[in-house]
Amino acid sequence: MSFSSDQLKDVRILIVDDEESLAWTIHRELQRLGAETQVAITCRQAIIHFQSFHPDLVICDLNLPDGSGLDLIKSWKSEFPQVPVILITAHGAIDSAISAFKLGVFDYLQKPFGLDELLVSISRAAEVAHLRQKVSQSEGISPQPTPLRIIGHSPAISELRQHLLKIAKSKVNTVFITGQTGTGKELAARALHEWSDHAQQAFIEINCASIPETLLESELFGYEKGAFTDARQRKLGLFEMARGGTLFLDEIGELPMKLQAKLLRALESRCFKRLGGTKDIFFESRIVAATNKDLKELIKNKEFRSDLYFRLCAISLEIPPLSERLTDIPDISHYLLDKIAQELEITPLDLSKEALARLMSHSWPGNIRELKNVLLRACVLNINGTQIEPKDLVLVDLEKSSEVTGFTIPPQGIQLEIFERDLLKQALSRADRNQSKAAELLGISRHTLRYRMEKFGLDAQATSTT
Amino acid sequence: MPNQQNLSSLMTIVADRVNNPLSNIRLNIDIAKQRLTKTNPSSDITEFLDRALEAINKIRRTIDELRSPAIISVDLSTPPESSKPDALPDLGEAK
Repeated sequence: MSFSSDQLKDVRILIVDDEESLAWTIHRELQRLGAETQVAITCRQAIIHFQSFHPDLVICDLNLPDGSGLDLIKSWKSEFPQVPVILITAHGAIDSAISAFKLGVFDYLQKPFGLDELLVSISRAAEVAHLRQKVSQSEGISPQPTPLRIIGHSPAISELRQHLLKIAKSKVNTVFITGQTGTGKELAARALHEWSDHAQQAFIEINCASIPETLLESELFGYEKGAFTDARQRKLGLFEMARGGTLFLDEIGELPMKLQAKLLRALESRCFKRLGGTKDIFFESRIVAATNKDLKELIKNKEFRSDLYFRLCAISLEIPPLSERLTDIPDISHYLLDKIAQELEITPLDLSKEALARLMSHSWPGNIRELKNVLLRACVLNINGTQIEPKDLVLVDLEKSSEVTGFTIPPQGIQLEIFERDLLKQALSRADRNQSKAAELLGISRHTLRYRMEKFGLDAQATSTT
Repeated sequence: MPNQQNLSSLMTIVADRVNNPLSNIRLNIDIAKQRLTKTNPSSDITEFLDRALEAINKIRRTIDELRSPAIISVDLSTPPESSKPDALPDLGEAK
């Protein structure tokens, strides 16, 4: 599993462990992932740092030289229950694990844990506590748009950026985003949040396809204590956790029918009930839903409710595929190459003119995700080089070129007459103005060639020089 | 019984003393391996790091076995399975 260099951007993490060397390693790795960290090696230090550093989450050892980590957690949980704590311990005793969970720790890791285990736990804690969107702007200052992340100057993307900004600043509380896979629907959803007046609130995202149907309802709407066998305490759902921020429902087309009805009710009435609950809970969050599926097709197949579709698509945005904004490829590629260089900790590579031309002639069925992967591969295999050449680019075309002609019509289409004229000119040029040879190259008779030259107004002499 | 309690306490201390530095070794190997995989995916050094991780897992299992009540109360004369010396590694395997 790999974590990007800004995975934990601006998340403030307090590390409490008396094993200084271990605390240093964790601190260095978390800083690399963009987190702000503070280390404490005693209970006393931990109490002082907690008050001054205001951490978003805490990693705390169980045994400390001047006390127990459990006592620290107990005091923090009573005052700051929203701060998740990951307990780490060298003992792994069952009783301490039970005590820790009773106190409400987010996770419990037994030493020697692996890097992935630790990072997954931290990442989940940061996500659940809505910390990834921690904003440092002062109160009263409206967040400035960050256009760097939606890159490009093509008409399609410029228009999208304008629409995103207008919707973000509006009071619209439901937005629907469509677009092919890899076009950046999540990025658009984040832009809607970051450019809005509620950017300092939480941005919560959930992929409706990645969670089993049985868990999805409780994830979204939460449950009351005793709602079912394992419901030992009340759990807040994502609707509640978004608290005035944005809830992003990705892959909405995968939402089970039963939940579609509940979601529609929630969107209509702006309130819902937790599982097993009787009380209506109102929410003010903006709901952003996205899909790469054709919902109309799903409606025809009775897999998606038409009333929910019409409720969602009142304000909708379509993210253009990369093939419709090929002129953005140079900008996007340079941005991605810088990002990849940061991740791989290498000097950013450049693209040769030929390589860029190759990228701009591809159809990009996988969109920006595909472009990133192509560039990543080129960087990894060319790690000591300075420039990416066409040979470093492996482009897979799902719609394979015609086996007969080796030519595929590009997504934006062609002008057949211009194409034919160009072929005639190329053939004449290659045949050094010899019309018989040019006709042979095109597989037509000399008579036909002359007829077509006349049709396109090509003079034999002039053709040779153009 | 007091002896068993003392032994149990001793094992807890041993677990603490061993698992703390072991955790640091494991994290550092994981980080080194991750960086190496990104910068030089074809390097055979990852194989050596994998062997080090295997050894760490073995130590962890040994500590867990030593701490289990069955070991403490029943049979202290026989070393646990995982603490037996490893077979010599086949040096020919390292590429």
